Formats: sequence, structure tokens, C-alpha cells
Amino acid sequence: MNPASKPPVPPTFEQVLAKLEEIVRVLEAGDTTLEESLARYEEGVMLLKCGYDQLRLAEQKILLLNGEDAGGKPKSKPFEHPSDSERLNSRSRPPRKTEY
Amino acid sequence: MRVATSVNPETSTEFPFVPEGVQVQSVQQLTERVRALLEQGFGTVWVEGEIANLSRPSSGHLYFTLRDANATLSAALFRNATFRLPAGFEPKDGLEVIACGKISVYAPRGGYQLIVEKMFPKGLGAAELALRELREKLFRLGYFDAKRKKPLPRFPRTICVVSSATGAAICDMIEILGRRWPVAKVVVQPTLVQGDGAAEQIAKGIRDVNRWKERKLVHIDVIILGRGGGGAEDLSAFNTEIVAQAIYESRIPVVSAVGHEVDVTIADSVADVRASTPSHAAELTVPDRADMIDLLRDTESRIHESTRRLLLLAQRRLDELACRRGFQLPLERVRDQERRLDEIGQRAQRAIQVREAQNKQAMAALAARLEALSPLNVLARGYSLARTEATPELIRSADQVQPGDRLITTVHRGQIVSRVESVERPPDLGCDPPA
Repeated sequence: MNPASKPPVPPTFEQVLAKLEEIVRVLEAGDTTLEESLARYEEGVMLLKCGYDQLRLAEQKILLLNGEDAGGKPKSKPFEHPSDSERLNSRSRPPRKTEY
Repeated sequence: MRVATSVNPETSTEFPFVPEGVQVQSVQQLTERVRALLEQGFGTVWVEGEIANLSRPSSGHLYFTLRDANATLSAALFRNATFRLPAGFEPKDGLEVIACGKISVYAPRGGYQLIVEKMFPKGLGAAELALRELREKLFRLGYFDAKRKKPLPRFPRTICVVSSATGAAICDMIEILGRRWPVAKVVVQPTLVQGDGAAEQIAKGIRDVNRWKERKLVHIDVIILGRGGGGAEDLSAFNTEIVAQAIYESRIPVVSAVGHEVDVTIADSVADVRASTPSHAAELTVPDRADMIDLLRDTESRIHESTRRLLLLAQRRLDELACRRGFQLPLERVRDQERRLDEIGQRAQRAIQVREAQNKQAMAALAARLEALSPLNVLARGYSLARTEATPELIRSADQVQPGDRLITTVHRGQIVSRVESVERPPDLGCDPPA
């Protein structure tokens, strides 16, 4: 895959939290210029949205590993539990909208 | 008969009642010789008996007597050896045991005793013994060291569950992982968990995932090792060296959810984190989404609050500056100037109004005079203006026309066009120069 053609990778939740912690620290210390603080604030609001979205829109993905192919690469397929088709069906529904 | 060896002449002379050539020893010296004789003479011994008079002082060592119908033997089991007792084995009075250790002497009491290194309840089976030996071996190899245990990632993105894909435990784990942290992907590495080949499959499952990760074919942050579920399960696969080794060598942190509360397997002991149940493992592995939303909310209010405070602070500083005398003085001056400007403006306004009125009057007077001078008014009184058709000049003298010229005469109302019949000059009054 050509790396240049990849869309920009959104930050992981861990990265979002780390950046937010830094922003809170800077804002609460209050020793930057007003312009800088407002820029940080704006960035913080965007990161918060990103964090909320990740939690809200997350839909659990489950795969079953299935040995490896001739090239030594792992094979996988969707996970299905034989004893619990009802629960499985409930998983394939569109993502639940959860209110916070 | 005298002992000829180690004669000390001084001693002999000092104590006349001691036969000549005999060495008098201190109690300590003699005791040390007894100790040497016993320790070398017996080496390691195995002995069976019943525990009696067991005491557990705060040092953590155990002191007791081993006895049978006809004899007793003092025994000590030091603290470091207590850790090697079989799991679940609690020495107590009346228990039949087999102990292994060395005979030694406790000098202060002058008694000999067994220093116990290993001890087993008499009923222990071969399998338990083998397990115990394996546990001891792995302990020595450092498999259980807390120092080498890896921390779990706080926010795993992909979780690999090495377990039976058909058991009840996997369902519980997926359910809990999905409820708490659906952000993470779950991959199931299916293995047998009991019966022939189970241990090999479990070990291979762990090793495969590690190998794929090293080759960057998968991204896996943490492995959960689980049993199938159900109470009466055979956990022996998780008590094997091959599984222990696979866990020990895993570069990916392993959470084990194999044993029950009371039954800790070797896999549990080697794993980086031990969970009491599969559900517990799922809870330990991922954060709770609800907690994280609370955290974000808290962060949100802190960001808003601190920014609001910064803005208020900035505004207050501006206000304070504006109130200073330095800023007030020029302002007062500006207001003075403004007032003066206002006054000048009003005076100018009044002056302009007066001038306008004067101008109007002057205009009216001029207009009246113009009216009086207008030739039209003269015509109205009966005068007329005449000029020839050829020139625009008004005719003031008879000399200006010839008979036959066309005249245009302007009267009060309209014009009259006429022809000159004759011209009569006025008599020469001697006033005009001669023509």
C-alpha cells in the first residue's frame, strides 16, 4: 500500500486523552498568552468531540483467527458462536445509538 | 586406656584429676563435633511420621515434632521452605506426612533435629507431585517473578482471546469487552482447552500470535488466556511446562483467566496479570466507556472553566488599565475639546442663519431695482424699440435707415415688421459736427 494515498489516521483515544491532559495543564497554569490559550481551547474542543465520537460510534468488531495461509499470514473470518445465534444476530445490527 | 591424641600438657597440669594426656573440651566444642558427625553421617533423609506440637512463631518458621508409636523427632521448617510446600497443604497437628531434610543439632538446646526442606501430606498423588516439582522448577527459573511481569496497555486497540471458541466463557468475555470498551477489536484464537493436544494448541496459539505481531501482520496489544467455562473442567493443560513457557516468552502481555478462585494453575502464576474468572479478565483488560465519558466531561468543564477564567482575567486587567489616571486625563481633555467643538459648531450655525437672512433681504432689494430697470416696463408705458432687419442694433438716428429698409419694431406685446417710406432728418441745430 502506498502510504501517501492513505487518509490521515485519526488519533487513538489514548492520544486524544494525552493531548487533552496537556491542554488542561496549560490552560489551568494560565501562563501563556491569551491568543495561545484560545488556540489551545479551540484544539481542546475539537479533541473532545473526537473523543466523544470514538466512544459513541464504536461498534465492537469480532474476528475468529483461522490458522495461516501458505505465506504464513494469519487468516480470519467473522466470529460466530454456535450456541448463541441470538446474541450473534444482535451484534450484527447497526451500531446502537447510546445517549449520554 | 588413655587417649594419646591431642594431649594438652597445660590442661593436664591445671586439673590434676583429669587423667594425663586427656583433652578437656568445652560444651560448644563437643556439640560441634556431634553436629559434624550427624550431618555427615546422615545427609539427606526422608522420614514419615505424624505432626505434633506444631508452633508458628512470628518469624514464619515452623517448629514441630514428628512422631510415630515409639519415637519422636524434633523438626524445624524454615520460612523459605514453607513457600515450597504443595499448594493448599497446611501442616497441622495429627497430619501424617513425609518429610525430607537433613539431621542437624540445635546447640542451645543440645538436641538433634530434622531441618525439613520438603514436606508432603502422605496422601499426595503422583500427578500432584509432578505438578509440584514443575512449579518448583519454574519458580527457580524466575517464571513467577513479579519483576518480569509486563504492564497492561491502558487502552488496548486489539485484544486476542486464546480460548475455546465454543465455550461459555468466550461469550461472557466478548459481552463484557463489548459493553465496556467496544472501541477495541476482539480476535479469537481458537484452541482446545482440555484433552489430548490441548496444551500444545494453547502454546501454539500464543506463539503464533506473537510471531504474527513481530512480523507486523497483526496488531495485538494484549492476550487473554481463558478456559472453556464450566465448573468440572480439567485444567491440566494449563499446568504444563509448554504452556508456561509460551506465556513466559510472550512479548504481548498475557492476562490469564484459567483457574478458579481456589485453584491457581501454573499458567495463572506465569501470566502478567491473573484474573479470578473470565469475566474478571475482560474487566481488567479494558477501561469502562462510561468512566471515560465521565473523564471527558470533567476535562470539558475544566477546559471551559479555565478559558473563561483567563478571559475574565484579561478583561479585568483591561478595565483596571482604563481606570488609571494616565488614561483618564487624556479622556478628560478630549471631552473638553469636544465640548468646545460643540459650542463653536452652534455659534457657526447661528452665524450662518443670520447671514442667510441678510442675503435674502439684499436679494429682494436688488430684484426690485432690476424690475424697475427692465426695458419691458418702458415698452408697457408705450415706448418701442426699432431695428433694421439686417442689424441687431437699435435705431437711435434717422441716419441709420434708408427708404425701403425693413424695420422690426418691438412693442409691449409683440413685434411689428414695416418698411421705411421716407427718411426725415432733423434740422441741423449746430450741435452736431458737420457730416
